[in-house]
Amino acid sequence: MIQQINYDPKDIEKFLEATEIPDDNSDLQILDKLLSVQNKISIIANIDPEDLEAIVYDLKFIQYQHRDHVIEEGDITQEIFFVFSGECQVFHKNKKVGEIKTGKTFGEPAAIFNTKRNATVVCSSQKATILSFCIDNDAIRFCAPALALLYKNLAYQINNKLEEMNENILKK
Amino acid sequence: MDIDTITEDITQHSNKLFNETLEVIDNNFDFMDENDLIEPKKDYIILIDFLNKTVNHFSNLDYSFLDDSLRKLHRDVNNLNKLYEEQKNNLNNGQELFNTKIFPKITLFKQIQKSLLELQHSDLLKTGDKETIAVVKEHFSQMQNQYKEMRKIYFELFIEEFTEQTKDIISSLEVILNTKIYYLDKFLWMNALKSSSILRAINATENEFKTTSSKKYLQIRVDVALPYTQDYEYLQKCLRIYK
Repeated sequence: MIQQINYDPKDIEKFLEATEIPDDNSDLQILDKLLSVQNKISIIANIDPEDLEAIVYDLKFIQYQHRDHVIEEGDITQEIFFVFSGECQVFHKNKKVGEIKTGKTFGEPAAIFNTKRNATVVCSSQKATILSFCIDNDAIRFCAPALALLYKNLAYQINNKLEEMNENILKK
Repeated sequence: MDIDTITEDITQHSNKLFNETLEVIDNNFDFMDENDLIEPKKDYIILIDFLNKTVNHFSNLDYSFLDDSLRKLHRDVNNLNKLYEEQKNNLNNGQELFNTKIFPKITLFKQIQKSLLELQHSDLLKTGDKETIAVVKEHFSQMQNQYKEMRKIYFELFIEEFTEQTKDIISSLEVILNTKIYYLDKFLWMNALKSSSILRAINATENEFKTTSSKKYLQIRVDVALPYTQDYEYLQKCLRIYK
């Protein structure tokens, strides 16, 4: 037998009163920043902002100095990075393999697939402001469509990179 | 017997299994609609163990913390969670439920069983006439096969209906539970804020906890938990809800 609870109007009043207590909003400013650049970050573009709020966590805004390491090759970390300002360089086995300019994202595959970082990323400008965040795959219960869209975006991005590589190979 | 009739028969019987739970779900959705309760997108269900421990801890620190309304909500959340866990377990118990609650109530099987029993004790078997006995045995065997075949069809249709219905129930319960846990989380801190003994015990001044939430309390708990233990991992997971 399932026991059902009967609430009085005064109980309801208290429930509603409880939601009026302001949340700790120290992270909301960072979330606002993320939302402001959402469509520039291809893997989270087009996701409903309310859903996005539910699937991201550990949002950080970090300022790096010249030669600071943002990512270390071989590490297992879960952040995705967006360069707000400044530039970075990418090294694989101590050899420079690329550059990351303002407005670009990096670190998605290792973050999503939980694999080791395949390159080291170093701040190459005087300063770089980088927004980092993690994706909560446990949020699937109430945000399955948002996570599905995220994976679709990621697949699209990987496909673009493959096509780009194929073109480069053909040019050579 | 056509498939629609069997499906109808199965639906009737399986509805009886779910009636009580469906009533709880309807009442809860009505309650949420009537009072415009928020349905959060974040998954608060994970917090249930943490919130239960917090409620118990705080009510030991201050007896006035657990007022009637909070007590009701706390009990309600735990009743719903029990129902939710039962439904999740039920997903693996379809066969047992069919054997114990559905199969014995289906009239067709009662009739076939009766006929089989009658054939087994038929006077025709006592006649000694080999041909008659062979005809009766053949008839018995055909009926037995029919019985097995029908049971298999009923079972398969039941499992299909049962799984679909149970999954719907589980999803509905998740929405209800998530909403109520969200309110429990908010409500318990509203009461905790009014208690100087609770705030003192968790080493917070009222000022620090003006916008108090599980987040700050979780951070305190994480700081004292041993890393890489189950408890630590769980608290970290809970903390993700608050970013």
